[in-house]
Amino acid sequence: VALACTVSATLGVASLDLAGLATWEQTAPIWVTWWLGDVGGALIVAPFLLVWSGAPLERPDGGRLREGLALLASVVLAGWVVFHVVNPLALGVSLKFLCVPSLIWAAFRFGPRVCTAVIVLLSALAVWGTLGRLSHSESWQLNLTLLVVQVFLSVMAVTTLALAAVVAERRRAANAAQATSARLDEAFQQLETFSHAISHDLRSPVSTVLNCVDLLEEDHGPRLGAQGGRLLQLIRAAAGSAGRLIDQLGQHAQRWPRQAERSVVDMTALAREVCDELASLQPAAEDVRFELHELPPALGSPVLLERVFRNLLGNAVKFTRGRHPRHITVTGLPGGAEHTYLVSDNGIGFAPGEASLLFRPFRRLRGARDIEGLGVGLAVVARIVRRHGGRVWAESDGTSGARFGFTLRNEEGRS
Amino acid sequence: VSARLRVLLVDDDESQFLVAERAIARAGLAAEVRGVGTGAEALAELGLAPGNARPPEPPAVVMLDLELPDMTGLDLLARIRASASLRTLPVVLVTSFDGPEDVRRAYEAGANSYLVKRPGDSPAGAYLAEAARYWLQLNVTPWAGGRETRHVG
Repeated sequence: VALACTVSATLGVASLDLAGLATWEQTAPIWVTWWLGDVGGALIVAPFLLVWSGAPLERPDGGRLREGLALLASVVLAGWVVFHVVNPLALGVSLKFLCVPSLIWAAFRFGPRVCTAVIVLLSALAVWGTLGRLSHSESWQLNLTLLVVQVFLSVMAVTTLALAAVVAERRRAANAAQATSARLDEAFQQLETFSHAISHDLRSPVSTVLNCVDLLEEDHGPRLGAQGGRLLQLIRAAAGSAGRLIDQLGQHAQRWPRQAERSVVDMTALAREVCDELASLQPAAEDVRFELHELPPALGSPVLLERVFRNLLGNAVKFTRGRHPRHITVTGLPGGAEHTYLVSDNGIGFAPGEASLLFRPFRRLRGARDIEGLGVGLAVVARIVRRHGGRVWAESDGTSGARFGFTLRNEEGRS
Repeated sequence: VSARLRVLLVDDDESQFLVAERAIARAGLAAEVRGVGTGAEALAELGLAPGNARPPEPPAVVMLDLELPDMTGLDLLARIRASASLRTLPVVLVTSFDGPEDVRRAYEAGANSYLVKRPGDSPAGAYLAEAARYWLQLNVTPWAGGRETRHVG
């Protein structure tokens, strides 16, 4: 804007000079007046025309209308006092800053459209008032005063419009975030409905297969012979495993309450409980050495966080099978905003490139970790940790074990 | 005179009927299992089909799948509850839907009991036999005599 106005003012004044319509002494004041006039027009009138040429204004409700009228009154009052009541020549210090609160009000509460309108209105009051007060003064005095008024209005226009733009941008961002969150909620709901339907549709045929296997065995068992019996056993095992997978799918899809139970959880005690249980109940975990360090307490649901340890430690037990010695370490790193918890084992690990795949439901890796398990354990861990506002990750070099980490927030935050 | 109690099983899965029949016999219940695969057949069996003026002897309990080829189990349940003579007939839903919403809706529609089919339960159909025993033997209802007054042939 400033550059374009410089070009026009310079060319204009130069042509006046060359045509002999202005003396060289007058060049500087004419140039400044010209330039300021152009800038003022670009900053005050152009934005008004631009923002008001868009879509029609929506009808304001009663409260909004009243606030708008109050704003109008305050602008007119301020403009009147500043440009009409107070003599701009008599008062050494101008009271122009009285207009600032009204402009900020417009920027914060009404947006760019009303802002431009208020600036145009204020400009009209200013020019009218100044001309009225100074019509009998000398022309240089009038010119100077108008220039000062114009500078003031231009600066206010830029400031107010920038402020209005920032406020409008923030409002748009907030609306967009709200819309995204609503869409996300809807998507989750659809996913739940879908998983629910799938788990039902799969369960029905599986239960038919199992029923038929039972009936077949009961009625025709002796006639099927040893090999026939063995085949029935295989069918039953496979269908049973499908049934358990479907149950897990259903559990994974099930909706958890939005507001989970939240309390301060003694993570050390929780981890110890799970370690003890694994060591005593699972014959497979007999020779595992659990090394449990002091863990920082967490804020969250004890039931859900216990599931996190149960899944991570259960996996660690599973994947250290065959190692001598078997070693599982649980450590915690206290932090400012969030604490970090790590479960490491010296098991077979996984291919480093597949770390992110581990947390997807039913994703069975073709590599080292594909021993057994139904594949939702880590997806459940990820879901619980994210629900608590934390992050979860996995690390392995593919040979010397795996390390699973997650963070939990330290202070009360949004869930 | 033997008064055989009847269980009406409404399920389009034939294996479910075979399993239920056996499990109920194995449990030593003197009951006959009548299986139908559609809602229309069930309505005819209960004397609720149009043109079926004389109601036959009603069953002692209805075991009902939520998903039938021609209507939903809840639709059929609503028809049963709308009938003056079958308003209090025990109806047990047997389904693989286990969502809390499904359960709530079923009870609100007037179900007396809600069983979830769990594939691989063993012995097969044991839960059906238990439900049948509950409604035929243990409970006293206008439809079955209960432990003390039950007529055994």
